Amino acid sequence: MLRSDVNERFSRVGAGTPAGELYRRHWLPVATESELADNPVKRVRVLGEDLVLYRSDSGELGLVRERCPHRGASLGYGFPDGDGLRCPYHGWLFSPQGECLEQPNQTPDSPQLKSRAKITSYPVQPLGGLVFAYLGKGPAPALPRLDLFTLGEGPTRFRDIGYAVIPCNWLQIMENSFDPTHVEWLHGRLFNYHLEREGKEPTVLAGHHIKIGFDLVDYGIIKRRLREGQTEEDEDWRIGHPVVFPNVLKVGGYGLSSFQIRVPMDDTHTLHFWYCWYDVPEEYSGFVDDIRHLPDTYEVTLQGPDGSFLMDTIDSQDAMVWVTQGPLTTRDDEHLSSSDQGIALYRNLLRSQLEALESGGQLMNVVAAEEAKDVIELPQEQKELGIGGGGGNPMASFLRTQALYSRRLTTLSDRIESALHKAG
Amino acid sequence: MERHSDLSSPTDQAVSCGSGRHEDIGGICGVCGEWLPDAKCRAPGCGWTAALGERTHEEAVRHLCATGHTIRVLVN
Repeated sequence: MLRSDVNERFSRVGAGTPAGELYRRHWLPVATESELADNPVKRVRVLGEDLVLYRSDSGELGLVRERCPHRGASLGYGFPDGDGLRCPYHGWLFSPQGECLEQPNQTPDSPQLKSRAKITSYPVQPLGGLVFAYLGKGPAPALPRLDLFTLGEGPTRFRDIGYAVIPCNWLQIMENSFDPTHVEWLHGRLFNYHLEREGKEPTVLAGHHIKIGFDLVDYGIIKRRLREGQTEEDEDWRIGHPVVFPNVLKVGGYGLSSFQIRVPMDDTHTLHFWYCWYDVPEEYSGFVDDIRHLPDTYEVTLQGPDGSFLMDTIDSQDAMVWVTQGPLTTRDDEHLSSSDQGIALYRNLLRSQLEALESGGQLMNVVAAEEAKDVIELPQEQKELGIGGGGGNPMASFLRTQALYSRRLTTLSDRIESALHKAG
Repeated sequence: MERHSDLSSPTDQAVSCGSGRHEDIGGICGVCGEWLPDAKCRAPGCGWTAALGERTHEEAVRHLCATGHTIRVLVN
């Protein structure tokens, strides 16, 4: 259990809160580059701040406070013009650094008024198709180049980025990453219950856990599990799932390599990315060429029209248990069991990082720009997520896990299905 | 046995084991229910270990931060 004051300390992310200040020392993805290619102005909410991300006509990225200092209208409805973003109301122009460049109907021109109208801005950097923001004090640390962010598309490989706003606190989502045994129930027994009711093939995720373990490593924690019928030579135990502190989980297998990235929008909302790379068997490379023109960004739908969580994908099953705990769950009434020790370990790591922040100590995964590593390699399983039900179509099982709403993945799966059907 | 941190009590009010000594029945104490994980440093030659009930996690994080060594926390 956590005392309520400790729970608040760990969970809340607004400016001046302990966890909020810790997150302000890390780069956080706020959008994809594809989204900005479709529309160069995007409203974003990060760590309790309402901001506008934009790409200027000259190509520079900017992230500025949403509220115009003139009359308070939203710059999120503005438009790029030259080197800046214009307010939709009276055309005041703001640079990516927040300087007010023009006040068109102010006569005579007033350098003082422009100076007073400077707005908050934050550094942004693109990497791997995502746009990252740094909301902390300068100088900004290095943007960690995690391995999947440095991959490129290839003849058999393509990228796909799903996102959803999850209406609950970030910590509820992260704690799930240190909870191996939920797979056996939520994605195994419960999933099979629903699949069987629909007359579909069951998954193979219901295997009982006989051992769990966690490695504390220099970038975070690796979660391991051993299920009935497995040995310590199996990848579930030997490799496991790494979590890069504070908010990135790596999962992969059967051609999928993915990060799940949780970005606190405020105390009760989290922007969740499923950052995926798929590597398909060579015989399907022609189909990959066919889908490359499709958008690589899609919104993940987790709830049906009546608000009930969908129970037919692993993503929506996870979201159901995150959100039904409440917008910001209490933890002074919980009863942790021996299978929750990964959660306890993460909470201890989080506490240690908060203390390091407060004492001016070294923070995990925060390094000066000049000390940045070229690539941070992370372990990854090759066989995880073989959940069955795909038949001869290697992409079909992913539809249950990652991307029913991905145009790239559904199109590719349809093409393969069609080819398999023709081949008999 | 002294406790207590402000984190992660599995047994709510358990402050000490009623038997005076934990009885490990496989990851938890069969008497008081407290977790009994083992933490072992994996750095060659280090030899650090901890089996302190719930405080094992806290000590493992402290050893990581102090040394940078990888530590395995096992729950059988």
